[in-house]
Amino acid sequence: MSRSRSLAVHLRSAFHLLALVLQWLGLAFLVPLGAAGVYGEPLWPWLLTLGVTSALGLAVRWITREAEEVRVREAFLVVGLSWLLLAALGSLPYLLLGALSPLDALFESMSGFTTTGATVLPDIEGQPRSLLLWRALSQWLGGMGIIVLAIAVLPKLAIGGRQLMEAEVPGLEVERLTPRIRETARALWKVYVGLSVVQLLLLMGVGLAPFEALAHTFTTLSTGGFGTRSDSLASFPVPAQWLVVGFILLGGTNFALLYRALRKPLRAPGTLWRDEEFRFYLAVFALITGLLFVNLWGFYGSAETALRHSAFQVASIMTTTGYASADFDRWDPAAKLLLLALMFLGGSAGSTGGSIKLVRTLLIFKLLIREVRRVLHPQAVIPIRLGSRVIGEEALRGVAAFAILYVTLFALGSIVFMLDLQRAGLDVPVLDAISAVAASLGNVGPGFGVVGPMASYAPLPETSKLLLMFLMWIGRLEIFPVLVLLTRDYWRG
Amino acid sequence: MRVLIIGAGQVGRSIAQELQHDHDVIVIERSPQRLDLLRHYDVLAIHGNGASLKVLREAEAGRADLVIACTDVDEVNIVACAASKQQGAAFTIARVHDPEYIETWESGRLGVDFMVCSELLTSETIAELIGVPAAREVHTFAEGRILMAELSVDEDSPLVGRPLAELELPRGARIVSIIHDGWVRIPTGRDRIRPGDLIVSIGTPEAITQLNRRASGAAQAQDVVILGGGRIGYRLALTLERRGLHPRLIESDPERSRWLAEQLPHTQVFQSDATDLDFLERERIGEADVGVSVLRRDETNLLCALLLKSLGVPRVIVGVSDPNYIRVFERVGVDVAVSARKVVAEEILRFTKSRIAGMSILEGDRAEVIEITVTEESPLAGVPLKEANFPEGATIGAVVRGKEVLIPRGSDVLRPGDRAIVFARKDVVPEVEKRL
Repeated sequence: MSRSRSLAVHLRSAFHLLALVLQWLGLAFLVPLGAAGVYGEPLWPWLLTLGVTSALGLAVRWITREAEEVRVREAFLVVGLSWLLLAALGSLPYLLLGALSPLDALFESMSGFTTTGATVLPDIEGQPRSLLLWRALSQWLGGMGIIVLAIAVLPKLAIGGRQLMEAEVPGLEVERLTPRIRETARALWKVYVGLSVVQLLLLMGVGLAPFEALAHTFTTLSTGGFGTRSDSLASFPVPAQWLVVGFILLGGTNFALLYRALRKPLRAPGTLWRDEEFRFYLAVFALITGLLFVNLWGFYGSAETALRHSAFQVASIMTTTGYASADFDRWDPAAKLLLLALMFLGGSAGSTGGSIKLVRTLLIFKLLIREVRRVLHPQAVIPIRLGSRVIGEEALRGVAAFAILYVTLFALGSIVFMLDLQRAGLDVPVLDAISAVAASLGNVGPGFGVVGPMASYAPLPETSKLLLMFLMWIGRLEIFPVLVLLTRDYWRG
Repeated sequence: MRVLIIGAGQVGRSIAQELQHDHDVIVIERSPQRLDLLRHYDVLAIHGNGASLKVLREAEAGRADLVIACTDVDEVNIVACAASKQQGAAFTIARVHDPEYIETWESGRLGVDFMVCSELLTSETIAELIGVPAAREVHTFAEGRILMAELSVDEDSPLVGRPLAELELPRGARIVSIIHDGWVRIPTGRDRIRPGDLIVSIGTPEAITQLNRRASGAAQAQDVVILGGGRIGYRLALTLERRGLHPRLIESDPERSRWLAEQLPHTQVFQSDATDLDFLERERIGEADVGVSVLRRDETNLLCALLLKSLGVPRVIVGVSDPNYIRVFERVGVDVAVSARKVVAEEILRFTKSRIAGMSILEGDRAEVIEITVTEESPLAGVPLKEANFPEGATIGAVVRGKEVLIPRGSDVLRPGDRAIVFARKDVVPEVEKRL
């Protein structure tokens, strides 16, 4: 006790909140439980998981009763730990159903919640449907963010919710759609749920079975990437593939922007077009699709096929979804390198996409242009604008720091990963190895070669899986909130 | 007319000076030193705070036909006007420095009948001058449909040397005066323009722009450099941005320059001292078409303006606060000097002339251009102009009839309701007012 008193972090209140979040999110297990009932699959693993989660939540809440409100400091801990704990509890079904070993179950669960979509699950078509649905649902929950969901549902989180949300929502800052943070969280979830329903109906409309339509709805808007077939979406009907491209692109859009656009549907195109990040998003998508199309036309021989695969893959990798409409591992090195570069772009700020985010890339471009102009005009005062909004120098420093940190983590991760593969005696080409690191850190999912879209992360050594899991976690929370937890100052005050 | 002036600064004093002979003028001033300057004026001077009810009652603000609040403090001016209005004053005018107050005033009158912003007026005047490159002075009338410009005529201009009657002037413009060596004259068809003369012309903005091109070879300014990012500099840059120009603005204060750069997306802001020669040369400031110096101190403005001239800027406009400097500055090589106080005083003074809607004072104050509405009783209404006995020393430059703009000829007839833009020597202004 004496030690905890010297801590700057109020552990009691942090854990109290954590328990509350867990307890409520445990209700998510009701969905696969229902599916198990419908498809006549075993119910007990779901009941047990639900029981364990609720009991754990209740017990911790009782132990930490009379807790104070969380502040900024605790917010980081709550967000960081809740993703770890949720991944742990979410791995129980894989374990209980005998599908995976404990570490693999944790990997699959972490890959799910962080919307990475890297899989170690063998024989996907042979798994219970309730499990596949849970796997997809974990991505749907992780996509918009479990804390954002908690803020939307739990009245207790109204205060201090902003800090929590800042720590979880990707991008520069949380755009306040309403004066109250809870209403903002709700607005985001409304858009998310609304678009999901539309996609579900449309997918069923083009002839997908309800189960597959639902599972893929869960993993499209969340830019997750888990599917129900081992060849991802390659065997899907063509209209369904095009439909998915559209919804992937929506998933990579800023949801606050979508909310504003959908509130005035008649003016929606104007609202979207005025947003500079959105214009950049479409421009990059169109440009890279064009480049890839030229590359693939010869490979496929048909313009439609080449265009479809280019658009699908660019959308999927750029927004960090990770679906595949074709085995892109068989494409030539130039095309693969293009895809690898896309892994660093990510979706828009405030979207469900991972990685660096387009807004940061855009701002870094502008910073570079400014540096060049400064050489010619040393005394020019050049503020950097996003649309008509001026971005403060403080925020710009944050953007530059994030990008450097991201690339550093990627480089260090790649080195450690390569060393570990060598230690385990696995011979993996450099491009394939770094694709696995980039795909994990950016929450993309599949890479090339051994971790390709039609392959699995299962053959990797356990230490490598632990490393990749860490990268998924830190990547989803955009590094800083996790890094803060690792500093001495955080704990000592 | 009973006029109450609150604040005896430069603006207050010049208004008092102008009005003392024809009106009952009362001046309220807080500083005894400034009050002392009014000794030689034929006005009633009251010591005190113009926003205080006690002082306003003492000055009998309720009986005033016109209240002009022009202290240095915007808020005091607004409060003084509101309080006077409450007391029963007929018409109140507040002078402000901050243009934001104009917007506030436009949304809810605040007891102020008219508000003038010296910085806004000055920046607009400078912007008009930039738009007409040969102009020494520009003023708009009839909501901007008529422009009066005092243009300098180059040696090689096609306007030089031939009798006026033989010149093919642009349609919609008239030359109402030729100023030779400071001598103001209303020309006849036989008169010729000599190189270096100034001409005063009245007409539509398009015609004036055309005339400007014939008077001087100067092209429309594209590259404008503004020294000083104060309120005038900021407003000027904003106005030029709206015209589609990309001005360069130089400001020495780091925080202010950052603010300016954020507010003005199409302006290139530099953080530098305006007298930093290395900087001015590196950024090729000398290649600008027009330089505007609107720094805080008149002396610095003069120095910088001459510096710009020496770097090769063809036309330099300076904003001065002291109206006495206008002639001095123009003598030593500044192309145009604009005084905020003069601009404001002009704007306020027109309210003291009951029917005059707009006015501009030329050549010291030897001549005026005024906008005046023809009434039913006007002796000139209904008579062809050549038969009308129009006072000597005055001429009608343009007539606004409904939406039409007419450049009157001898056979034209004025109708009641017409708005005439008249050029007149100072001494015949009251006569012109009577005839129309």
